[in-house]
Amino acid sequence: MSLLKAVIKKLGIILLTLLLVSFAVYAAFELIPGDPALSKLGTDATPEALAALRHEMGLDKPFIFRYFSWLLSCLKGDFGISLSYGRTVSSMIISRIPVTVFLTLFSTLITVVVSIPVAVLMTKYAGRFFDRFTYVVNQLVMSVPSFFAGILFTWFFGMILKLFKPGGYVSYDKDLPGFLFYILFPSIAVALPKCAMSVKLLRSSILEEADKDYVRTAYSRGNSTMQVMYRHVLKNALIPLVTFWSMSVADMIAGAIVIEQVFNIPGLGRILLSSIQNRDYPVVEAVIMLIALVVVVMNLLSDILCKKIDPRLKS
Amino acid sequence: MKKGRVLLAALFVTMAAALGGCAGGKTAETPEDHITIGIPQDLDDGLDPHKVSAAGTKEILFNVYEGLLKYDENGALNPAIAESYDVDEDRMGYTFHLRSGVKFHDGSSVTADDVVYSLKRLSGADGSDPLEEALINIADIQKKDENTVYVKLLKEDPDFLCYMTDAIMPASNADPETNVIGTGPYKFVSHTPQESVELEAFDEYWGEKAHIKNVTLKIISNADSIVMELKGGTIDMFCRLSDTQVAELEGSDFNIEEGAMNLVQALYLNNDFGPFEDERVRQAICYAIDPEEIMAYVSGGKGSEIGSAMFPAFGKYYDPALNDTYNKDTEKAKALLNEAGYGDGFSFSITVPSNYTPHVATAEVIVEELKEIGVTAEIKLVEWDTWLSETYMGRNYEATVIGVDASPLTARALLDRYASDANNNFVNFKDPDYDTALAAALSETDDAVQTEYYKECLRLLSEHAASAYIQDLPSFVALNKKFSGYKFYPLYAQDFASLYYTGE
Repeated sequence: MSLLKAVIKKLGIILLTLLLVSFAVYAAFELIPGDPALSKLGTDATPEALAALRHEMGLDKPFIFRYFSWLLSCLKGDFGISLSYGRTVSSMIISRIPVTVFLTLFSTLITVVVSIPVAVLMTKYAGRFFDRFTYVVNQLVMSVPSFFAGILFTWFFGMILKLFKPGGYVSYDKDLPGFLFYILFPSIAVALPKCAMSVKLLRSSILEEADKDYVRTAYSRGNSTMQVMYRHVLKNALIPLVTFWSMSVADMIAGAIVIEQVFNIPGLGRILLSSIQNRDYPVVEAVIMLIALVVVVMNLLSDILCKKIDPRLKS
Repeated sequence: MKKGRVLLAALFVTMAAALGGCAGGKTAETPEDHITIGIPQDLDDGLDPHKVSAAGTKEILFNVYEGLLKYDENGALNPAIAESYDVDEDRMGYTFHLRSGVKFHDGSSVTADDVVYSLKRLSGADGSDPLEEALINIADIQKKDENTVYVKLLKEDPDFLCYMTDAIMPASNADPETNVIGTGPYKFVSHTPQESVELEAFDEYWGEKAHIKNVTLKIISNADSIVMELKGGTIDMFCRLSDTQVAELEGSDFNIEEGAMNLVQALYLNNDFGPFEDERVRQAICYAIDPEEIMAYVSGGKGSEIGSAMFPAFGKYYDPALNDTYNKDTEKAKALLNEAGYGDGFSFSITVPSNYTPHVATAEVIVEELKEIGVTAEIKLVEWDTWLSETYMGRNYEATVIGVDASPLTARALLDRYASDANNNFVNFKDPDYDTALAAALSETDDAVQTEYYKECLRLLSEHAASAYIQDLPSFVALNKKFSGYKFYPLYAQDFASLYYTGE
């Protein structure tokens, strides 16, 4: 019973968040200057043509009315029609989702896979040269913004080493391996700062755990250093990291939006930016709702995961 | 830990697969069959040729759609779908003789019905809103026979034929917004929003066929990556590069062609804003601004000075003498300000759309120049959409730097916006003499006399300092040395059909 209650409560919070986000986006478009009809007509606009197009787009109706009719059709699964392209919003967004998903997935994977061994090694040699050296490098990497790393990568790997063609993005439905290879470099650029932060967090988390009593007990039971590290210490040290990583996913989607510009990748970020410029609010609404959904779901997942790793949190 | 290993393995497998796929390469078509052209903006205002407004969309549809007549690179009107035309004695009726054997991209032949349908759609004679404002002047459109269409006007219009370059589309096409069927040298294959547009040469084109079979237009929204993509070889051509981008391309595989943007770039002054209501203040601003200095800073000294609302490509109307109406003279500017009661200077803001780097750079020079006469200008960067709604439509601004183009390619398109009651008179210029001269020009049918009236208009704009006219910006095109044949048009048109392959 209490489980059902908890689930209902969580779902309620998710829905409420999405509702608030959707309203905020709609309201923002009402407040900022610019008009989708005018954006489409440009400097050729005559007052008559403008009025006609506004009517066609339904912009002549009051704001609240438009919001609720949009919300209603959303609930029916219809996200409307893009004001600038005349295509359905869902058809425009669905083809972009894999691009951003792969970017985020790759970056998350790189972050997790790289940071754990590095942090473990650092603690193994805590205070020695390797630890200190890596610490400095880590600090440096942490302060490099993704877009700058992206520019450096294009220059170094693209222009000098010619590992990939800058701007030579290939679509995943045309050439999947080519797509994955191209996506690799921006993924690393997005992952780098997150990776450095994870290393720093994990290092201190492991060191903290290593001082606890259960570690001594584990040693006394005849476990080797490695066994203690992987079976006991790491498991506990990872708890704060799980929360960090799940929040990073949301952050990395945002990072992907910027990196998509640097590498000329047509993902969700690109469509979001240009739709904001065109005041194409049905598209903006849908993309932002999608991102908001990912954020709340990741939050939920990290809660569940933490409870799974640490049974004490269950109560 | 087991889980970690699985993840690691998965990652390596994916990477290996990716690397393998890359090494394998693709079997490409022969190089002369394909060109990739970078374009800065998407075709996001639709694809219906009668409805699109963005210059970037129009210049691409130029390859796909044609009108009864078509502009060439000199701005002259040539027959296209119409083989010839006759004009009635009273210049109120036009008979168009259609060329035989002109095919639409879907394989059907162009008929008189298609022409009547398209013209009715444009002029609103089918009962809908007119899509080309100037064509409400059409009284009647008749199909005389299968190959002849007759158009009767309500009143004489010397510019009428310019509008006959508007697209002819098949009457059977119910959805021109997504189903693109024209008669041009290239047919439209596909459009992936924000990614690319594919065009393919049309084998049954009536005129000289396109040389390059496939054209990919790649949308590059990030201006900083243009040079990189050109150098990296992902695009073969890019139009309207800046002076700095051209400098970065030095020594690479690109030929740089230089033309003009065909714009009237000016510091447009809102004539309804306090100080600018006084003609002397506007003149003072003109005296303070030196186009040469701006060109040196903005485009490495390239560009052509203008003294009124006309660019040099329009040789018929362009009067170089007007460039000297206000040669830089700080003392005179100060004296004029003093006379107008602004001896201590004043301050105003210059609104500039942030996406147009040359306009922003121009505004920066102007700010410095105005300091010399004690006027403080402050740059206000806005987004293009905000500029459109607040500055252009709302006229809620003090001054702005922008370039105005002629669409269609007539003097009227540049000049009728200065009529006191014009709905696109965004500078709020009001002068009875100008209104008289413009009205005389519009109703005049003798070309020589009409030209004189238009020149009079230009003189008045300069004299009354409607705004501070600066220059027609230079336009640089980078074209990979493998290709040649780029043509500059005095209007928004990119003619891909003229490009050809010259060899590696």
